[in-house]
Amino acid sequence: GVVTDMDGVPLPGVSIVEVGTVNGTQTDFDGSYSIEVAVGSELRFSYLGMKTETRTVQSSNVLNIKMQEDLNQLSEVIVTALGIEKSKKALGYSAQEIDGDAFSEARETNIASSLAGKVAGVQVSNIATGAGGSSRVVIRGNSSISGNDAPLYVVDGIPIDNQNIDPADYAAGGVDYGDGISGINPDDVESMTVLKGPNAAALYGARAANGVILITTKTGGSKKKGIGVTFNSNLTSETIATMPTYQNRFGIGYDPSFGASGTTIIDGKEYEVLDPNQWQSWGPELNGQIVADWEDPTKTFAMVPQPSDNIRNFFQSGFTATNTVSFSSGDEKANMRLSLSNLGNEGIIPGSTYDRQTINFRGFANVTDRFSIDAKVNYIHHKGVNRPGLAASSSNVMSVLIQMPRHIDLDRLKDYKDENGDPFNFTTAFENPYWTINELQNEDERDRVIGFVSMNYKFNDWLNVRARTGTDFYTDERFSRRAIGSRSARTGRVSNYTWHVKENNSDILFTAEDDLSENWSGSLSVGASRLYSKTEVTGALGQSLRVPELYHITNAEQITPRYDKVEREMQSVYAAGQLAYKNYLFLDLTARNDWSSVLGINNYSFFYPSVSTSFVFTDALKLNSNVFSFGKLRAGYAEVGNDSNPYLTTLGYVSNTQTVNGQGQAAIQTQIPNPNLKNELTRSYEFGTDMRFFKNRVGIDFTYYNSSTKNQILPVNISSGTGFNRMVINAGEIQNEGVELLFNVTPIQLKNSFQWDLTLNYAKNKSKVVSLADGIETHIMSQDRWGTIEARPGEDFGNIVGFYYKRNENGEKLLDEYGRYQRDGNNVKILGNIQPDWIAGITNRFSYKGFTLSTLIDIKMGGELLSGTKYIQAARGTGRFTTKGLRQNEDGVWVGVADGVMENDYYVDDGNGNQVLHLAAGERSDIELDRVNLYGMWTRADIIEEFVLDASYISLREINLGYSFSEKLLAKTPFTSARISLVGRNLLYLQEHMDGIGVTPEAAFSSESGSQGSESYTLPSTRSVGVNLNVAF
Amino acid sequence: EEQLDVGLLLTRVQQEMIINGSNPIGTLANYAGYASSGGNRPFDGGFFSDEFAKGYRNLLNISEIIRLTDGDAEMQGQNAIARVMRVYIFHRLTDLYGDIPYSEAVKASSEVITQPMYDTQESIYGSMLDELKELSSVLSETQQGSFGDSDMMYQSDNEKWMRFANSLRLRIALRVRYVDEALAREHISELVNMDLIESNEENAFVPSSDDFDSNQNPVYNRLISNSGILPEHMGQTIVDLLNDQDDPRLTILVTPTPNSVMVADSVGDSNLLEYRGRPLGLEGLERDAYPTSDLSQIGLYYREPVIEMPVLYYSEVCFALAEAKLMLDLGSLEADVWYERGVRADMERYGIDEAEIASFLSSNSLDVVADEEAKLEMIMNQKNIALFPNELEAWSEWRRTGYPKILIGSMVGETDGQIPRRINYPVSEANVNSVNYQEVSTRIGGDLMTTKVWWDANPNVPYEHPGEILVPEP
Repeated sequence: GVVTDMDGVPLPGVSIVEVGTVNGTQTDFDGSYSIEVAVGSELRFSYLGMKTETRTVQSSNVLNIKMQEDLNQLSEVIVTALGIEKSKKALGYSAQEIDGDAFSEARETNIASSLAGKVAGVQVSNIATGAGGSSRVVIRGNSSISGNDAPLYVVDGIPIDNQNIDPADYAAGGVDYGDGISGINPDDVESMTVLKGPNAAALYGARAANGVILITTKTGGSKKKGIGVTFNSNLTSETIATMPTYQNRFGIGYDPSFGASGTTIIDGKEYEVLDPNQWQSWGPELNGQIVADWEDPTKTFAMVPQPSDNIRNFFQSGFTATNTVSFSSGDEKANMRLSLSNLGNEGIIPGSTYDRQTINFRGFANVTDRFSIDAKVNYIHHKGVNRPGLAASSSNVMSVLIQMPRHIDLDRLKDYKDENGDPFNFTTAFENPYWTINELQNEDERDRVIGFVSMNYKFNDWLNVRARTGTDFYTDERFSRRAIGSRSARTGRVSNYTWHVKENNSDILFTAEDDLSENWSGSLSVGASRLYSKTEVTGALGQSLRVPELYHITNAEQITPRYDKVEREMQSVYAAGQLAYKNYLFLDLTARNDWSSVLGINNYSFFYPSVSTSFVFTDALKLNSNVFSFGKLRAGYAEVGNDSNPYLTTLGYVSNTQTVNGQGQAAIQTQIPNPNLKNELTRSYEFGTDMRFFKNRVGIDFTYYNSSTKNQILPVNISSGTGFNRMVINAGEIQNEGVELLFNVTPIQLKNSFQWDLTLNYAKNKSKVVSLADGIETHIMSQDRWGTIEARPGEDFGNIVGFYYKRNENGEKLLDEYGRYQRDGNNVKILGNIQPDWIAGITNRFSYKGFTLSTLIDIKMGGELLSGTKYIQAARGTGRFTTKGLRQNEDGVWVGVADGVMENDYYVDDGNGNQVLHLAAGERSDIELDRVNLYGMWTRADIIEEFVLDASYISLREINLGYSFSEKLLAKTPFTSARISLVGRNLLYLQEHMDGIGVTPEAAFSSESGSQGSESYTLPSTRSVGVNLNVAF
Repeated sequence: EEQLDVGLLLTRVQQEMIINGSNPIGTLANYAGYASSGGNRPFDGGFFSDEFAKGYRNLLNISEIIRLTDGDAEMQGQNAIARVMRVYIFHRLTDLYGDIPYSEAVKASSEVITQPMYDTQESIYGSMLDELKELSSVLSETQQGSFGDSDMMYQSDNEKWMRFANSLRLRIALRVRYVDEALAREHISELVNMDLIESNEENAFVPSSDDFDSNQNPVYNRLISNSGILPEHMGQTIVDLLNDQDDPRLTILVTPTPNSVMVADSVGDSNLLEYRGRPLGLEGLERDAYPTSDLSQIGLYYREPVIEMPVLYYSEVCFALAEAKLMLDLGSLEADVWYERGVRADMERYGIDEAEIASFLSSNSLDVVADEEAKLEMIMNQKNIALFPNELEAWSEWRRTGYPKILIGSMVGETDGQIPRRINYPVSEANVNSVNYQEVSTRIGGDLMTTKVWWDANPNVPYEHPGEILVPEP
């Protein structure tokens, strides 16, 4: 037979399958096909963009089919703001939807992290903070620099709490206890939609200024007779992917001698005793020198390097198992779905575990023809044990491991305490890492409920009302303890904090929708909402334990209570209208007014509108053809207001919880408030086009946007000479401009069902600081001894600024009178920028019969980071890079020559007491320097330039090889479907430029926006490989 | 609006600026001859970023007390005491950095100047001296209002605060002696006839407290945080000063070396105990000549959690008056009388008995040397010991006079092997206050640790490297 469209145009590549078998074929270029089947069997014809047809084979040998365009598919429906479903065709802005399977097979424990590389314009960073940690998602660059640039997460139409309470910070460290989105079980997710720009998000109001991620969870569906059961099991193992690299030749010492604190006599011979206070590794080459043993000075010890993987062996393989079972049932009248899941994780740090259990129930019922109810309850329980300490936190094992001298056998440190319970270590300068993981412990447990009830009433054919209320509340109990003798708490410490977090959202929405005339149709929605959120913490920190190992607050001599409460409320009204002409020209208008409790008393009400339009020119101009299937132009303009953190409007005193000599203490808060605080306002416009060719086998979606956020609310650093350290400004402008491209193609589609799909997304964003307030030169987002990251007017957002090499006009490094590197005084300059030039993702998907193979390559190009790991390794002499270019001089000392020219003439003694010119100013140095004077100068002179590294990467983010058992095979089993997949995530970097220091280029990003671009003591990053099994019956 | 109890602010300021104000084993103590810190490179800089912010943060709180009490007839006592504290903190800051924000600094939040200019040290000194002069008479008149016990230094005793204000003015006036003798003379000539701190009972200090770690003696905390082992050792300068003169304070301030303790214990002879400090800035083989088992550490007296955290002692007043008499011929008593009173006051502070004091003074009298400079050196050497553990003041006096002589190894660092003359402004100032920062950097001759502050004008310092560090045979 021949398959054509309704106009009689032949359709090549239509897939034809005998139902219930693997017998199938495809139409050829003329649309004709042939297949051998028995009379009475059923043939299914399917083709992208066309309605699938099933026909029973009659006695005739010819079966010609006219396929109908599937309007639902071409103008796919997408969930937009406030849960309003719209056809994609009508959308005047960019939104991208991802199917839930993309998150559940090759999964991340935090579902938001699995967006990496999948959506154009969405930058996701993999943060190595352990399972259950936070995600970092930035859509279209940083618009607000004040602290929160995360998108709003909306689950089934109701925003959820996504704060990271007591977050870890790259500088101060801490523990990443996870954000709000980390509680969502990927198996419950039907799809995720990313609303990128302000246009898309305008209706969600203030918190949506950074974009919105809509998550739709699974329902019971309407076609299931009886109860369907699905079981999904996912088992993965996590192994170290990147790990700092170490020099493996040189021993302890401040200079090329083992720093000795003295000598001792062992068996009549004198041996050096190593100074237990030193910890640097600039010493001599380790070649078996005999010294007094560092543990037992009555014995000798041979100074030899450890095996090069000794630090790696400190860690173990991680393991994650997730099992989910779900039950669903439904028909047109009602449906329900219940899922239960359990996740268990063992981290790469021994003793670190994370468990998560979720129960999710969703039910829907058409109570009458006019009245329906939709409701959900999601209970989430998670428990973390010994989540790793991060960055400069004293509980971060990496802070010690990256500076471990090379003669130390970690196995000898495993017995980390002596018989008195005191820590055992080779040095007093830092903690034994085994003490850290055993005696610095934390435990956290969260019980959370997310739920909503939504009621819909249809007054008539064109008017309905929906009322909803949703809540998200949880209790998070956090316990931590440090044994007596810990370096960070010598007298011991215990703390218990209980967090109570609640977010309630209620809204009501009236929607009228109808055809206005033959050519015109329209809809109008009017609604109001209220948001209330509260975060409260109570608890106490106890220090100085009376009885060792009794970790109860009453056992502490010094008790510091903690109580904080943050409340906010926002009330809003809004309206959205759409006008459509002949189903090819659409106009959308929205307007919203918010009243926010956190703004100044005279400025707390703010209004903002948006307008967008979509023009399907292929329909309007009748351009549709086999080559040009679909074409649309869109344009939009939007304003979105944004408020801020609470309590920025009044000055107060901070009462100190600790007394001194029995006296109470108080101080003025260190931030100058802004009593007239008003909202930030983002103005944005975007243009885009969506075009599809060759019967939808090729699709291009392109967007250009430009947005500018004014009246930035941010606490900027001011001179300490004011006595304050920050001032809340409400001025300034950040501009983001960029393009996004989404390209889909099916290059190969064969009759034998082999198909290759390629999806490519690309985004380029430029974020620029147009202005800050008068008298404010810069906003320092992070500052450490290895430089600052700033927002400075007129410059790109996120410049890395710091000291640099002193150079001559030719760019050669100028060396000092000893032939050493020097920095250019106290001058600083821009050494890099944390923003990538562009990001992209490439997904290849191959399918053949039941097999699918998909790969995701995630690319980030451009952008730099500041590496604190390299800084510390340079300061201590443990990094592999501190052995480059060395040779042994006549005294046996390993030396190198700095790469530069002499700043001044250099004289040497000729042996007769005469100073003779050896090198004239400007000549290349040949002065031999030992390691500490060669590489140690980087940190001694704070030449920050050395620690700014290129953060570009090409990552093989995901591989997924799956097989779905055919219906025929399953016919004799109780299963209705079964699929098994081998999955791998974060497998390897195909390209990175981190100077071989062994830190992931994604390290410099934390979930806190103030902490971007700088890493320190980063934990090894991991790759996960495993298997996913999914069966339904 | 609720009125804040201003005493809460004062307590906080005293906690931060006095209890956490000095550290006899910190980096500055290296520059004072007191200490020799382990792996630190004392000439490399970058140790002090917090001093600036900490000083101004506390000045803001002190200024808040002044604003809240200004014009309130019942709170003039608090107002005057806060003004004295304000001068005390500004003085610390300018002695650390030189030119600093002063007239435009620490305004109320509604009038804040986000980029305050840097006043010259000369103008700040003039202003501080005038302010203290005025406060002396304000405090000597009866003033309504008291901080009570919130004032951990003097329990709001106005007379003691008046004596402290005068003594602080003496400290400040003496500091300018080499750069502006007329100014020094003008103020000191008044002060010799005024009420100064006249006994150890009037000493200005705040006791640390053991209720919370942050209130404890920093040396004690260092010990606790480092498993009872101090990485820092005593400086050669002070140990030699004490050792060479058989000073009874030696065993209080300094522990014997571990090796000598072992030897002395084994034969039961305490005469074999040795005291040895380490010079500053050792490099390479020089360091090997000073193994830690042959080095002394800070004495047990200063390892207790609760000690007196120093502000200004009677002994310092005595040594100041001795110098004023010797070099400016001001005051009625002779220099040697003040010298002896100063030594006696400091020894009495440690509870040393009269016989030992008399014996020490008889063999270490000021009369043993004839020329003025040698007398000054003796006064300054004793002042250095008496100032212990006030390392900032001791370093300032070393910068001013060059005494005591401090030995330096061959470490080069950022200062070309010299003891720093000031500390760098925090890097943040170059970022957030760049115009003023550039202006002041140029004005003072570069934001370097080797740039001398205004009063650091004695042409005879620093002394050349004496080269007395012995490198033993390998």
